[in-house]
Amino acid sequence: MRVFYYDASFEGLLSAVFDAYTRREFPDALLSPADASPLLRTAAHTVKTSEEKSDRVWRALKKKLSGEALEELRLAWLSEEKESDALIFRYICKVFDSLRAETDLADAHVFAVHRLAKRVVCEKNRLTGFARFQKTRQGVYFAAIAPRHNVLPLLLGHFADRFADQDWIVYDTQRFYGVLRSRGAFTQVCLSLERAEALRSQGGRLEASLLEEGEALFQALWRTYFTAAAIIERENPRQQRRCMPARYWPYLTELQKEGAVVTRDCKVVGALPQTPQGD
Amino acid sequence: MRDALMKKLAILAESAKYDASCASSGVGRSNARGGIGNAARLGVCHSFTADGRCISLLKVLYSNHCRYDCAYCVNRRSNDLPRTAFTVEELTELTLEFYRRNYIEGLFLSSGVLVSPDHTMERLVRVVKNLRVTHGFNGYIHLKSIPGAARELVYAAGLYADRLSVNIEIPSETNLRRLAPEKNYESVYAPMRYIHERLRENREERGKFRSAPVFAPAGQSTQVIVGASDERDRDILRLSSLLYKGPGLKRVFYSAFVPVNGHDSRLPALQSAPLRRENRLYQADWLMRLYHFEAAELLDEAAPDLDMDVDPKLAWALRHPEFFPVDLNTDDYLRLLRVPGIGLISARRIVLARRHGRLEAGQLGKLGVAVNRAAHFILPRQHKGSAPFLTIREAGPERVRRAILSGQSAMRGEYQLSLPIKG
Repeated sequence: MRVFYYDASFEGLLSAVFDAYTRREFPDALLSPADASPLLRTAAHTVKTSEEKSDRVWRALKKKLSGEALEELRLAWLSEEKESDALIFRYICKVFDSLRAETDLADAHVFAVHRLAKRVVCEKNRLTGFARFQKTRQGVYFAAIAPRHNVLPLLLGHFADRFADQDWIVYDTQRFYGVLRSRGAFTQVCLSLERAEALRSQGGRLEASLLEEGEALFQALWRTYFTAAAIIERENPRQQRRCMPARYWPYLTELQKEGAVVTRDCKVVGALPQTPQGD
Repeated sequence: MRDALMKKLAILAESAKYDASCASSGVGRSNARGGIGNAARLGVCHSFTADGRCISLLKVLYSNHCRYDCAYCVNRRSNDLPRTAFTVEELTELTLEFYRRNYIEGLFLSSGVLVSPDHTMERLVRVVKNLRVTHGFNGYIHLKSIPGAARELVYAAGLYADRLSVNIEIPSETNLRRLAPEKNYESVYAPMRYIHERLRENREERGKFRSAPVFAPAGQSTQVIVGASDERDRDILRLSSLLYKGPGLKRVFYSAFVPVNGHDSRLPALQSAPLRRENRLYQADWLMRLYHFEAAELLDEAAPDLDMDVDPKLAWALRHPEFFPVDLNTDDYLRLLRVPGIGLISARRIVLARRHGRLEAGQLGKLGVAVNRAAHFILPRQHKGSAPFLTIREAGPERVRRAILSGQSAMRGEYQLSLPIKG
């Protein structure tokens, strides 16, 4: 079994493709150094990630793929599904080895990438609707999300345009990073582990002491509206769950119980929205 | 103050919820400098209520006071219920605060008829103007045009709203007059025609001058109540198809009648809301709008109502075995669209994939085709295990219908099993 080790970044993956073609040997498995090495390892190569290699592969891909298909590759990468890197690797090889692979949906790899990309887009679309912002004392709107795929980067453009006149943070409690949008610029935000854990256990809710005065009222109004808008004669919980899977429910204001969040004994790193620790 | 507003919102949302439309789609718009909000072309659903319907817009009435007495409506004059009204400021603040927290895509505003149609319409226009002009709000706005309101007001509404709608409610004029004595079709169609003319005019103007103001860019829609009067499905679909072709409506919404007013001899006594029928009508509506079906093809004199057991596309296919089988490798896109189990997306995928080589029987599931359903209507012949599916021409419509309804499939093997043993 031939193994390629790479640094588990997208550039690293493209560099691995470059190495495979220059060395004329194709791996049976792609592993990151952290992975346990397989039992039957016959040959191993460690990919050195370089911008030059990844750029060349990307430029070549641009020549052979439509913009739509390139976007699908990026989306499939963001899915962070197991084995998605190996899938993307094979897909890229197929693109280089055949005339026009991207529309060949009857091909297993092409279709798998297509489907993976669709799942990511689907979750992104859901979260453009399901992300709930809370207004903090500092006037920054804060939303916590817990998506299955790494869709945060895909949400930024949408919210930046929509909420152009307000400062906001979207924070991913699964991947422990967030992005602050303030005065037209994005900054990456890290929270302390305790706070991130607290957010996760509270469905993304901040403590009352951090929130602006009117926040509780609008949350309550929204809950009132949510209940009033349902037609009892047509109750259909199955349909509700189908459209809004239960894994999103803990983070939805309208489905949370009223009342302030219990403040846990956790250390706040700075005053949360004021001092994002950029990196 | 807090409790009063809470109560108001509950009442005015309760009285608006029977309007079926929730769409926030049909217009893509970026935020403007210094403004708040944008509109996503495909719309965004923000939540789903316990009845499984999406919440996209803050759907409320400006007021539930009404001087009309329509039998089917929860807000009719003769109902004894708490009446209230928002102020322009309250509604503006509520919309903006909900929007900033990403609860909603925008506002859907309607109202009971307060003093006169003009008086009511003027209030609605003030709300949307306040949102758009004073607060720079670029989110989605759907405004109900109050029947009987002055044209100038309807025009002003269209300058601020993305979509306008006038509800027909009852699908025939005789029944409308019976159930809503103060209304007639002219009061519905006159504003609908007026909006249509303005839309057409606006499209021409914008072709000439890019700076011309935009009038209701997401077009107009309407709603009919299903099951409150005795129209057949054929009449309803004919009406919808006329509305799509004539006044160029973007959508017709169907709302299953929920008896909200207790007993009334003018209305049918229903066990439950006709949800299945509503669903079948929506399916037929999609076939007309996106699958190139004509209303007359779906229903005719012989079959005045939609089949409740099978969807309208399958029902059509069962009535037209001569159209099948459709060959996935050679037939054109429009023929593919007529196959039960093949949708807009899978038809497009088939057209793309077959350029790379012949499609074989086993590949269809991956392309998104519902194989067990489509198998009776297509070539290449499909197999389940080693047993080949029969096409509708071979098995006959009755057998295919039974097979699909029972979740089985009509296979070739069955013939042999059912042969009488000789001797």
